Amino acid sequence: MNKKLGTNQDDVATASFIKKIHGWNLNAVYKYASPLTFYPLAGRLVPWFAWVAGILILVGLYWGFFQTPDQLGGANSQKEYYRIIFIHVPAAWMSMWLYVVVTGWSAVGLVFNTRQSFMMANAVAPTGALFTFLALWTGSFWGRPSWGTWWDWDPRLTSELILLFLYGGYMALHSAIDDTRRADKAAALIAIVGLVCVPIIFWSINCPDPNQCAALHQRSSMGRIEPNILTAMLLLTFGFWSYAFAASFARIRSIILERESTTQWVRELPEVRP
Amino acid sequence: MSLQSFLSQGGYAFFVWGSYGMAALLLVAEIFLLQRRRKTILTRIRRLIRMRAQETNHESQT
Repeated sequence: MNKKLGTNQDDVATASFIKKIHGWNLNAVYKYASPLTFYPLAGRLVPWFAWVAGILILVGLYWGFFQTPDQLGGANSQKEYYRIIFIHVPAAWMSMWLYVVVTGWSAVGLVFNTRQSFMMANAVAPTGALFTFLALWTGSFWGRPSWGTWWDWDPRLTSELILLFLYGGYMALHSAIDDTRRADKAAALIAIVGLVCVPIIFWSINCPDPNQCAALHQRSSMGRIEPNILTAMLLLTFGFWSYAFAASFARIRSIILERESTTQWVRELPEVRP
Repeated sequence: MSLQSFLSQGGYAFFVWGSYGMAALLLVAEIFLLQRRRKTILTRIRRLIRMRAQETNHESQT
């Protein structure tokens, strides 16, 4: 397990070994499990995801501002500031989902000892942190007009803030260790331990007894939501998701170049010719 | 809907645009940082290649 994976041949050997012991056909998986083949593939995928993200976000914004009621009535009446929901909820969903993705790639990397899995985790984390910050920021700007406060140590808000620290801890630990392979493994462990935060965030609004935990944050009201509001929210969610793909693929290309800068195939890339 | 009423968002412009503005700022900043990171590593690799070429030239001369 401690065999140093220095070359692409080693990665292919690991993948064919995995294939042998499990009897799975992993041809396509191990073809792109090597930086040499994934680098150009990621490059081709970035513009597609970027365009899909741009279109979904623009249509979502149009829908959110022009196809929705200006104010919400009913039990939870809100004025125009409810429109923050179109950024807030997609950003919050992405913050949790991308953390699950970081953890997933970290676990795959630790189990199969594949370098590229750690690179994927590394590439996704900053975008996840961005959406976590955005969820907190927009929550604050929503909380001020609706609850009368920018911040409260409510379970949902507090656990989301801890998620931001977990992203920060993951990235800081990785950059603090000079040996990349050790940094990958240590950061992966932090990510996996931190995964406990995600279900806590998810269920933090379902406080069973309001006398025991004062939750300020609204419960999810997905079932009763106005269809146009839901449409705009889902458009922005898939737009952000597509953006996260584009940003992660763009970032992993730089990570691959940084880690493989001394290899022959990087030297032969057209973009580094003088 | 007039442009003015769109911009004022019923008097909650600060909160609505404060949220959307931060979202736009963060996405633009990340795209900028991603481009800069790529430019930096490409420059470094080009320098590595040049240094290697100079070394081999030097070795062949001596």
